[in-house]
Amino acid sequence: MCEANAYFLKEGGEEELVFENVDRIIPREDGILMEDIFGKKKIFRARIKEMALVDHKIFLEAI
Amino acid sequence: MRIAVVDGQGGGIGRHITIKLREELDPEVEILALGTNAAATVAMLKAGANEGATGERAIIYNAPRVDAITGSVAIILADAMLGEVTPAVAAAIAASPARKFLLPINKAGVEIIGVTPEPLPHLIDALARRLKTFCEGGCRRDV
Repeated sequence: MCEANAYFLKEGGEEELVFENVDRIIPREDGILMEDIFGKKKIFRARIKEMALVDHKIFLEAI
Repeated sequence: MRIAVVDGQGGGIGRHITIKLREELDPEVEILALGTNAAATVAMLKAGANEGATGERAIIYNAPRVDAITGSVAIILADAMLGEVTPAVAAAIAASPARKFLLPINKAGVEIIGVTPEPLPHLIDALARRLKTFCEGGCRRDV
């Protein structure tokens, strides 16, 4: 599969994979809701820092 | 010509498949939605399936009574989809004489070697093209 994956960017630039095969991203007041292609949903208290779509990567940072 | 679309959990993949098949295939081709749960069946029915049935017994009953079965590869993996694909469901689909057209996506830890990773919409486009060829060829084994 080659949908986008979501990563938290840690100090030092390390990427921590937190959610795979992202289908939808829905902004909410308390963060963002992500849903994968299988229908699994997860809320992250985070905002999008960067989307590198050619690389299929979504970088998040905690709020 | 009857094609069964099998899915579980929220039915998202089955819904996408059904929408595409309904767009691409002749209206005379019947799409049978087989969900491991009611939510999945409803999602596929809303997407344009002609009929729907839910649960292990429905899948076991219908698997040998269609010309083709489609879904993700998880539908032939026992205990896939958080356990919704029971061993009996997986066995019934695998043993069905219908041709199986499966997408190489699953969360069951199964990797299919030789498959180039593609986004889901591309996989579904390829599936629709293949099924169209299969239908137009009269569902023969050599098509």
